[in-house]
Amino acid sequence: MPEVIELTREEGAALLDEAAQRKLGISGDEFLCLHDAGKLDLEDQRVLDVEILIPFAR
Amino acid sequence: MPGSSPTEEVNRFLEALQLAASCLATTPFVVSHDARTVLGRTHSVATRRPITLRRKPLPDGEGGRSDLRLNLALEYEIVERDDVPRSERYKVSTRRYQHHLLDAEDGEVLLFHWHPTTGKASPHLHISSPGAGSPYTRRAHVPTGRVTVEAVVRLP
Repeated sequence: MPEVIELTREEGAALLDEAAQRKLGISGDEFLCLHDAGKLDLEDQRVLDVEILIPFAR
Repeated sequence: MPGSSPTEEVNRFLEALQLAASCLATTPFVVSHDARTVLGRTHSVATRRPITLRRKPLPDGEGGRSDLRLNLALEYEIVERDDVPRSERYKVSTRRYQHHLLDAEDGEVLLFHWHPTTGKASPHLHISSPGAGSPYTRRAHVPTGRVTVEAVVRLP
């Protein structure tokens, strides 16, 4: 069966950062800032693709 | 089925995902830190990389490797219930999912979504390339019921 790997907070932040860079061209920290400020377009699929990864970084 | 400890219940939940995906590949899942123990917080589980789907060869020799890939991601919470037997005290409650069927270049094909706290509240589907004359655009939210991982891995 596929393995389940629990990431550390740091590894999770790296995962979020990689996705934010690839999808939106911004850092994970910048994404979190914009998300918390309510400044992201939640109709944008790329934003949703990164948003679901937030728990990995917090 | 609920469990008697958070870890037990989360492991049961994750094993169900592993079993569903095992018919396709051994691509690992990743979970967020403390995902098996902390209550009252949203956790995430996702495929580490897209799962390459493989078609079984047809009897006449056609078929073989599929050019489709599958990305799975879910958010969940561990819920504690006081009004049930101890063996059923903890339950994993899915809060959100994104199941994405992709082509070989990671282009979107079908996107199954449920994100009740963000935008469209009910489960829905996005069709990436609707055919000519289709009433749906890529942005349309086509209503579906809840789509489980077990269902989406059977798609191809």
